[in-house]
Amino acid sequence: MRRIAENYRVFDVAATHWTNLLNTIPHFFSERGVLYLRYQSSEITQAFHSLQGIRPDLTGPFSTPITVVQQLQQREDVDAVIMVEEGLVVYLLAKIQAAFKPEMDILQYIELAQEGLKEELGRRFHVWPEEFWGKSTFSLFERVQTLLDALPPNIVFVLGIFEENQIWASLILLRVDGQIRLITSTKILEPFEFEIKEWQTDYRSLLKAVKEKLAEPTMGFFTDDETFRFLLRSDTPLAFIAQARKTGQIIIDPVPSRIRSRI
Amino acid sequence: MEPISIADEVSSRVVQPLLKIEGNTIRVEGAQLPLYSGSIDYWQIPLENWSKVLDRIIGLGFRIISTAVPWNVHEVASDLFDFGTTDKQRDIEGFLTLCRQKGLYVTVRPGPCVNAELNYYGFPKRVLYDPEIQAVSAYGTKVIIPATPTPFPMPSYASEKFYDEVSKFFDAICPIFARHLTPAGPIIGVQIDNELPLLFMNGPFSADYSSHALRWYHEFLASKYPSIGALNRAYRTRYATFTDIEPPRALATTEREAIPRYLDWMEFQEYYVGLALSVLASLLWSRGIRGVITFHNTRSTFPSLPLNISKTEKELDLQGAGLYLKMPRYDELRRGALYLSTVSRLPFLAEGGMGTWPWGPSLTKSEQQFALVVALMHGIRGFNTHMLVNRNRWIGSPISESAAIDDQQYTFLKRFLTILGNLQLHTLQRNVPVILLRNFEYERLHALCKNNNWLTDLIDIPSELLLTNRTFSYTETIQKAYPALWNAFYWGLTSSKIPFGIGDTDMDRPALSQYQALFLPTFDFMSEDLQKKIVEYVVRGGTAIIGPEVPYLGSDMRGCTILSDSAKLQAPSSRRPLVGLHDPFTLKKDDVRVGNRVAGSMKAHGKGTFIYLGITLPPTLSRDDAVDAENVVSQSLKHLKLAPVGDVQNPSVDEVYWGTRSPQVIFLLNPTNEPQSVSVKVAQRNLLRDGWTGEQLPQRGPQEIALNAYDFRIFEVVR
Repeated sequence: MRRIAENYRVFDVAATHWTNLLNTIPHFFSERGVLYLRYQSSEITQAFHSLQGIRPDLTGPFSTPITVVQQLQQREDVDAVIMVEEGLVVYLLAKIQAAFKPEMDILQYIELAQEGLKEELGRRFHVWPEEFWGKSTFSLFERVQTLLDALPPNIVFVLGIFEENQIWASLILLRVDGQIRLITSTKILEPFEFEIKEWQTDYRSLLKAVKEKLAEPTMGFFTDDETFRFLLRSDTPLAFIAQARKTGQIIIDPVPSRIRSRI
Repeated sequence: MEPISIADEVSSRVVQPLLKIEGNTIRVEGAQLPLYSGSIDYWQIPLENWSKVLDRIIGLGFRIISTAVPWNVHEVASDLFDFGTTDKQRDIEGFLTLCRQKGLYVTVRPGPCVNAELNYYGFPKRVLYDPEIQAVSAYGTKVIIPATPTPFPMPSYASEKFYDEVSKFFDAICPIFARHLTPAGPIIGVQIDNELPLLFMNGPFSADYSSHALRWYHEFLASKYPSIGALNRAYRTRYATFTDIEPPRALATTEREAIPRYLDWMEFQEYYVGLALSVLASLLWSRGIRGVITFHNTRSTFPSLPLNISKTEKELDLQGAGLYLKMPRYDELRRGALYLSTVSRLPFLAEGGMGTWPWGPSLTKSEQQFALVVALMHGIRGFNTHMLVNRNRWIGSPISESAAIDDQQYTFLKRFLTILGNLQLHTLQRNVPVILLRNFEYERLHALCKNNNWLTDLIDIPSELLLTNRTFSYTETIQKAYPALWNAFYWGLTSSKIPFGIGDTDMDRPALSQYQALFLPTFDFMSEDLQKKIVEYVVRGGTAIIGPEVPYLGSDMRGCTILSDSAKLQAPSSRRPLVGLHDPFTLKKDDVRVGNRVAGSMKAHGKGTFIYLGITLPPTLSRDDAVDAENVVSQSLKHLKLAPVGDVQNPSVDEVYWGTRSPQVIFLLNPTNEPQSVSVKVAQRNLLRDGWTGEQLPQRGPQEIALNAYDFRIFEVVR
């Protein structure tokens, strides 16, 4: 099912809020580097080290893909080895283009690619260590998809992130029947001026303003910028949220029943 | 209406006189107008705010606006159009009239592709799902554009039915445009389509294999080769007719003899883009849209093939570029500006990004301002602020739909336009004695050997991994060696501070002859025409710096030694030792040495000079590792006695001096994330006035100027 309505709107988004939000998306930087290998039959035909560039010395025959990725990860002391068979990506692209359906949204289309690639994991596409896959841009989409699927299908969601009692980033999201219809920010509330002395209590006036101007919020998520960054980098986000709620670093108010049971 | 014949449409269009472009301006109603404009999409701005918003634009100092006129906004049912009769929001005629009343000129963007963050990029969905219209991939599938929110199948721009459909929209909209062309109305330009090379985004064999495109392919081959016999000679085949030829669907060769067929397939994609634009321009022309500037846009600042500016500017007046780059990608921006300002009729950013689409690069306001200044610094002379006015699915414009302003962006733009006006930057030239050429023959080979696409980007697979390392029996892997040497030349020239432009091998000989020296990486093959062009350039007095091979094959991979025969150039038997760090590299006449690590030669030919560099340089990825490259570049240009411009003591700072006899405007820019200082060279009697603040520096003559990270200064030289 689509997650983004065809007629979705994005307006009155405060540019700085949006930039701040996008810039919090964690991009994995590998300190030891990642080794990428291309292979055909049982021969590595190209090797590229993310910090050192092309490594012609690593090309040549190998026994099995799993053995070679494991050996090279250890020997080259890299964070991960990713090995892809020649022609796989072109094959995958053809496959998903053939499977595309007009009613799909972009997230569904990306899901097609994800499914195709997962089918190839361990066959024509190898990642070692396996958990490294969780750091890819691809898996970032999976997180977005998971997050959206966890939210109730009908929701007025308000996100407020604060930096020293200033709104550092905001997002107001309206979802109907599982599809995002509107993305906006506190800019839509103007000329409403939001005075914050303590965001932990004053966030309520923000919820009130959203109710008056737009619709009654059904979920609010408020935190500070530092906690938000930690949350995005956490491997166990639900546990992190539960802990941060206890210390008041994250406030969820109102809490939809569907969410309450999870946190 | 009778079916459109594409051939008839194109041949009936008389090439428009380019009277409207003069220097770096447009002559409109007797005035010379710099091409500074801003985007506003009337159909998304509440009708009641049109006037207020336009007043805000005028308040900034703009005289021109640009507006998309999307097909799927105006087509309310199949072949039924509304231009304001049922919904005033679609009243394009009213909008144009209002612009005229307010003294604004307009460039319109009727597509057929406009993007504008619209569903289906402005195409009606019914058109995209017509099987007769769809582009086809090498595997016989549709070519899906991964757009947000809804991906869609790309149309084939070779489909006659596609143009039949476009014609219906143009039949409806063009009478309105025609009534509002300058001088009767405000329209001075038309952007034709948007980012057309998107069709080829998925690699060399991504598109278009529809039957319509194959007809174009065969026409292209027939136009390139005088006979099927000539093609068979090049391809080593025995085709009876051009229509027998099947296009390649994958790179299935390791032999260089097969390469001509593949290179033709890559060149065909450039032909495809050019022809599609030409047909669209003809459709507009035949409907009365004449005497205005026509242009196209590509998203990239430094466009890669199949976007070939020489080809698109044969069909249209201008080929614009986009500008959405963060500060650390400064050099991509600089290359784009240097390239456009060399090859384009009027170097123009059709999308000078202010704000962004929601899923685009998260540029800060400072980054957007920085990019615009950099573009103008390096030679861009026209820009369209995109979007000047916010709309649905766009974030961060200087003006909102309700005419509220973003203080920081609005103030910057207002000041910037004032400065450009005060400095008259569009009238200034500079001396550029050297040109670095992009060799399109090798860039086609490079594009052919790439296999990255939007999916590989998503999986984070680096494009370097997917570049094939087949040598095709050439002396080395050209698709890797060419960009490496080109980059070395680029960084060497940058560090030398000798002003240079970036051009390409499609430039004609007279255009090349404006430069005293050209740098051109050359490998085993080079077309006969290009070899002749370079020889002619040298005969007439130019210095051509070539290497590391002297081409011995033509583009058909048969013997072609025009260049080596003319110049008596020969590669040394033991060639191309690596020039080590700080090795002396001094070229003397006829010098070709290997033992003492100089492998080059300098030969007088006609009135000019050939310099053959039989060397490989170490990887040069930035100005920090350009020591050897700079050494080679400086030695190669030594006989021309070209003076560097600016402070050679600090190669990290970029300086551009505008003004041919003496500097009139000086740009200084620190592209690093560390503070820098630079000595500005001006005559003892001259003063510097800060273009931004208007303050005059207290001392006359040379000045030491400090720059913070990613900082820039613009100075006017006051005599």
